[in-house]
Amino acid sequence: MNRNWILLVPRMDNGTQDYNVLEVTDLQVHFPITTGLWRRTVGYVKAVDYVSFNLKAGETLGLVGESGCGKTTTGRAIMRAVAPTGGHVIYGNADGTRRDTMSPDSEDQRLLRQQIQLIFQDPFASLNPRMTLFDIVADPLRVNGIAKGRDLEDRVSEMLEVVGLSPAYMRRYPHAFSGGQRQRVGIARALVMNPSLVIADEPVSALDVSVQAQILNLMQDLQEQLGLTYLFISHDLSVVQYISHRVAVMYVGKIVELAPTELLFTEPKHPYTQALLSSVPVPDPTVRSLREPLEGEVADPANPPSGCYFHPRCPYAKDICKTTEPELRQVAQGHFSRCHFAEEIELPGVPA
Amino acid sequence: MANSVNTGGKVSSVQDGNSLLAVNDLRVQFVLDEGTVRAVDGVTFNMSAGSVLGVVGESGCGKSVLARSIMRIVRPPGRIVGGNIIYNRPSPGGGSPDAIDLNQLPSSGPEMRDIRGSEITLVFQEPMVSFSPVHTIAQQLIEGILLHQDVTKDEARIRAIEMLGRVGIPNPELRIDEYPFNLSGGMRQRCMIAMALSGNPNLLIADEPTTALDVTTQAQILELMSELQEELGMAMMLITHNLGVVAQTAEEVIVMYLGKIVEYTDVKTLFSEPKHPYTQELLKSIPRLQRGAHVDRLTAIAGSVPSPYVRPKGCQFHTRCPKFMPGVCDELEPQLTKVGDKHMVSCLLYSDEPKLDPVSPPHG
Repeated sequence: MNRNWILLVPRMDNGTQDYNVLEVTDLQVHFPITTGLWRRTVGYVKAVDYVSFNLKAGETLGLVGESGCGKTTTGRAIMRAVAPTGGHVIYGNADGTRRDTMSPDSEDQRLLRQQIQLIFQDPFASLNPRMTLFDIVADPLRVNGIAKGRDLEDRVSEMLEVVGLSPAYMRRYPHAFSGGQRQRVGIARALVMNPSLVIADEPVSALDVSVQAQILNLMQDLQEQLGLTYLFISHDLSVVQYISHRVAVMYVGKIVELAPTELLFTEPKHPYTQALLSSVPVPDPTVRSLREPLEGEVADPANPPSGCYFHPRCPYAKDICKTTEPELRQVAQGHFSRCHFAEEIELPGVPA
Repeated sequence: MANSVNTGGKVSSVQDGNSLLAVNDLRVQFVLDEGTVRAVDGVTFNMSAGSVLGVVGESGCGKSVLARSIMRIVRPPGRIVGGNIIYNRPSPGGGSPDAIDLNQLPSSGPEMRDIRGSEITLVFQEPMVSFSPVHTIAQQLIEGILLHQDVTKDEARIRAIEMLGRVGIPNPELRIDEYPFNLSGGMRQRCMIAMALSGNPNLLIADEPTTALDVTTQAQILELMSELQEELGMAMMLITHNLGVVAQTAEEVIVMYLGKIVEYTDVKTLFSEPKHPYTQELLKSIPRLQRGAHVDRLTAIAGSVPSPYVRPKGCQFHTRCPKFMPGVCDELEPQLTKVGDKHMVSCLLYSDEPKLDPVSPPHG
């Protein structure tokens, strides 16, 4: 099939220490659909299908899409929380060493899991209610044998302070904290191992709007202080726009557009991106949102349409879209689109 | 100022004679072991027929309990402890409406059951949980129609199919016999709306109707609800935490914080001249989809919503308020006061009197 080994990030002119923390090439996660007594495989749900992108050190890549588009599975496959069925995920270090996350070597796996950490969506479900804040944050350090005793306590209390929690609370249990505070604990747990890559899966979706801004600001501050690289997975375009340097839009398991944030929002080159942008209700009653919501529903990943997966809902679809699947190709500097007519159609983007 | 605002031809106002629903000093409490939660604490507002009222607030502000109180389906230990819910039932002949205090009716009595699900209906947030998984859409829709309308089973089925077609379900005569799990989230929410509309309600209460849906589906559902609201001329109360949804659909807005109304005005005034510090901060803290937005930093509201068991003294927002006045805000309880035409705010910044005498109790 289409194996496009393109390097999605153009080399930056200035950076000498500019390296890729993550190189994802043709990542696939296909879940078999089985039936009958013998669990015969009758098809595959292509949750992630030939996804490729790079992530530079210190960068935030936003991964957006609607539910079921494969954005979470992509994040989990990078972590090896689900086993990819194909492709490569190369993790790069500042010293130039590169590790394949598919490597069967257990030492490699151990080191990778220290370097890549996850922040989860629901701070009420992702913290063990029977563990104190101290235990939760100290656990990664203990498991990896990094610190113990007095040192462990110091590191945990320092970490809690970094995320804006008082170390005085560290003997308390999660139930005593609000959603925003719990999410800070989740962030502390992820950062205590001093990772270079953090995969944040909808980290603010479960929070109230007033608290959401606090957590987003905290994540930005931490990125600057600690030089973190984020893969920020979200369905909320306004949040993604705010925090990301570049954004990838997924639809039915594939990246349909990838571009620097400002470009993606002002000059989208894929009709699906435009549809997403137009669907967000504008918090301003004097601006009527474009009332042309998409017709139909997200395609079934077990039985996707022919040609371009988006063609049944696309207002610009022509005959070729029904028959030929478009490749993800560069349409402008650093701007990739999976649309036959990316250059021809004019999409308005977001309002000024 | 707010008078000249044209809300798409419909006339509505915070206070006028053409009232459909007048809620007056409504109080709902949950008595729990940990303490008493005053989920709705002295809420007063007025909805005119055919208007769209948005109710915004963060989780725990009492917006859903407010909806359930109007429907009289607050579950124990929750209890309405005071206030009136005056429903001005339009008389079929076009004469003067019949004022009924819903709070005086027994919650499972025949009058309330007559109104609930027929004249006042509710659309829930999660369409998967609000449908019965073991009955078909047909069974669930027809049951409601038979309960409230004097029709035969066949007529009810025809009416149900008609409603499903109206909310944009393709092949309604086939889809009606499917189970809720056969349908996508958007389709289920459409069925929910069809169910709510089948009785031709005068008031539709939608509690976070699009929160569980994807953005493109959300846009479809909001558009559908606005269309149907205009077409059928019913009043709609839209409860949400999403300020974008409110801006795009509501005519008037109530902002709630810890069970109280902090600001109540028409939608344009709310977004152009918010008066309450909470509203102002809330509007500043939301990330907006606009050009160049990613270079900005968000303004966050400090702290988080206080525990409902230990409410702050004085103004409930004073612990997080950037305009906090020591000795005033933590002592006096603000009242909802008029600050402009159709604009009410509950904030001590706008009442001169308490500042003169900060020791006196706020009210009787």
